[in-house]
Amino acid sequence: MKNNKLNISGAEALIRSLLEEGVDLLFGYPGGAIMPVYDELYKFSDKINHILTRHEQGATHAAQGYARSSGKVGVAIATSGPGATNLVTGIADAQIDSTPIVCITGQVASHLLGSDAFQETDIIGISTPVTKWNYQITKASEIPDIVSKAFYIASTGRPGPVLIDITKDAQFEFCDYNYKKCNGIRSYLPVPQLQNEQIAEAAKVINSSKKPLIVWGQGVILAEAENEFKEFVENSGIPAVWTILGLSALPTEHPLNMGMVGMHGNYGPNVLTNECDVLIAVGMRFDDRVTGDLNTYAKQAKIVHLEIDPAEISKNVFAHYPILGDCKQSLKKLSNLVNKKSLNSWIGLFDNHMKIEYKSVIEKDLFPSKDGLTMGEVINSINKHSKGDAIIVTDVGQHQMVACRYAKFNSSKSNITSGGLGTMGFALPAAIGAKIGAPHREVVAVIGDGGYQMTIQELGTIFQTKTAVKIVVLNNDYLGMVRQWQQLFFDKRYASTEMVNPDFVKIAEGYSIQASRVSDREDLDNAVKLLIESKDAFFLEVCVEKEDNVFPMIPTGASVSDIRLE
Amino acid sequence: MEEKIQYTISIYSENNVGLLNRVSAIFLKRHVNIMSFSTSQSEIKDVFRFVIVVSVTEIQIKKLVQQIEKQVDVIKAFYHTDKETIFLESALYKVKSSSLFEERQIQNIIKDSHANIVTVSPKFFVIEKTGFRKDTEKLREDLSKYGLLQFVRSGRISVTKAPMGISQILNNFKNQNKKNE
Repeated sequence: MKNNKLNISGAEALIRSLLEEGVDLLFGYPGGAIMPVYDELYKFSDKINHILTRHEQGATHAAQGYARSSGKVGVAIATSGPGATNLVTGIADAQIDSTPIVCITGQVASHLLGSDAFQETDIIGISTPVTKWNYQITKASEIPDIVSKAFYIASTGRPGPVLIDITKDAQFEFCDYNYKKCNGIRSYLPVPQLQNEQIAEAAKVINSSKKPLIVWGQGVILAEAENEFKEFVENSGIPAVWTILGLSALPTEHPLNMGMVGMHGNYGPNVLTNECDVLIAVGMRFDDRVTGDLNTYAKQAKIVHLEIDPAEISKNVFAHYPILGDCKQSLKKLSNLVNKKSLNSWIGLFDNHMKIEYKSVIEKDLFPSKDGLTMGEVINSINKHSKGDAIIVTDVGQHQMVACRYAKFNSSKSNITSGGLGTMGFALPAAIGAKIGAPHREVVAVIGDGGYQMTIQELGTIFQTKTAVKIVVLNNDYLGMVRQWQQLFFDKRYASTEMVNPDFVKIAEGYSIQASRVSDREDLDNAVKLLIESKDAFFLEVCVEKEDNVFPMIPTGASVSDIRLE
Repeated sequence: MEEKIQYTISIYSENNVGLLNRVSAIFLKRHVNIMSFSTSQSEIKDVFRFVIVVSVTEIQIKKLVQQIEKQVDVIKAFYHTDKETIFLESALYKVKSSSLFEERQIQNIIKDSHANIVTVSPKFFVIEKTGFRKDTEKLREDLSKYGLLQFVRSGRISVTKAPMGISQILNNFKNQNKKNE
């Protein structure tokens, strides 16, 4: 495609710019102020596909799912006013979970800006605190450079969402189009220069440690450093634990993968965080759900922090040995400097804790003796039939914690969930994006009955696009996580957490999606088997025990070592 | 609790619409009140400079500056204590002309304060005073007895004793780009 052309409309310049960035797919919803762009999308429909979601929030979550499963930049597009404000939740989610997306919004014509025109809203002002960068275009000639800059910013360094707001007159206006790919911005250093001294010093302290612990996060996945990370773990022989967004970067069955940290993480990883002597944090940001009470978090340990974003160094936990830079590079260098350790007794402690957790929690979750179905056994059945090869997309709440605790993953970019923002309604649209971003992979959305109904309209998108997403709703007729907190911390006053739910099977069938419901253990395995084997989209509702709780649990404000098993 | 002290934040940035909002949002998100704020052209063509004064702890100021510097359009951000900077503020005082003639004391106040008379008209005159907060504040107190029609004080402007090295950062970028080409 020619990267320059005389006298074309701003809208056409936008589509050509997107094509230059390798975009062949947008998620979006049309409306008045973005119509010139949609008109061009119609003309370019052989080159660029548009997926009509049923709500703009769905477009951003789908773009996120697409970005997380494919590693590419997701694109969402909407009109001005309510179209733009509906994007905001997805943008905020992408910001806190460092997901590269570019959002394009239409805006009222420039002469109307500030006049409270129909569907005018200050989306630049609104999105500023939740975007990595944003920009309002009022002249067609700005479009190529700004699009190029937007993709560069969204995808480099620590990725994040970028929003471009384009006034309607700029979409109509004619300009001479000339596309140049952005390869640098003078005020923006995406990747800090590696400092070999930092790596050498960290290697020294790691080599002298007796009880080192690696905690890895999504940074490993975003840097595409899975191989370098695995090599580092294996070269050093150090046990490794993960944050919820780091999950799947190292296969579940890897012998040094010791499980999850954080509020509903595994027993050993949490307790032993407060016993390690060196804590090596890789691409993670010490979220409060990971650390619990900061005053009692790993105080005995020297902290090594591999991080791309300088603002994360010592933000929550003081880093004695920061290693700034891209962890793909720093891990490689560090691997060469660390000695293989024999840490049998230290690793033995993880095994001991796992035995305790298995007996008091895991066994009951996965192989229950009571009548009611548990969320854990559903995940276990998905593991069995997907053989650990599926992408599992989760929403927010109990089902999310259970899925992340028990899902098995063989390969990276397989766990897609709303981590930092905790956005209910994320999973269904994100699963659509994930499936389109990785069409050859099985995508299973595991969702609670509450979150499902926040974006249930996206069943329409599945219906229309025939995207083969598998949907599992774990229905306990409660907003389960809030109910659990009410039970434990509010004397069982279940304020507004009980849900009277519709017939989910009928709703799915209304969209011509195959659907089934299970409430007995003897039917579960076969139902999951049919779900996974289906070539098309499939909906499965599992009626689980109403008042099950997720354990282990670190109560808010408690120390990670005070994790409760019941 | 760590002690809160006054810090001056200096930001070198691109001059883009919306950056002011982006910078102020960082303070808003952390519930930090801005005591003084001013922006201007810097010593480098096309580079803007913000000077912001806040009263926070050292841990807070470090994190604030890290977050500011993280913004794409920010070239570099610094923080300094008062001792590390040369700073001042300007103030304008509008007084009724009649009081200048009727109240002899007012002439002494102006003389003693080393303030400048900016404008004199039949109805009012305007005095300008530049200096530390306590100096402009003292003049405000002294004049208020005679009826101040208007008073306004600018945000703090400051330069640092240490060099900032912004040209170096921009040159490095230029050289890097040349290498890439």
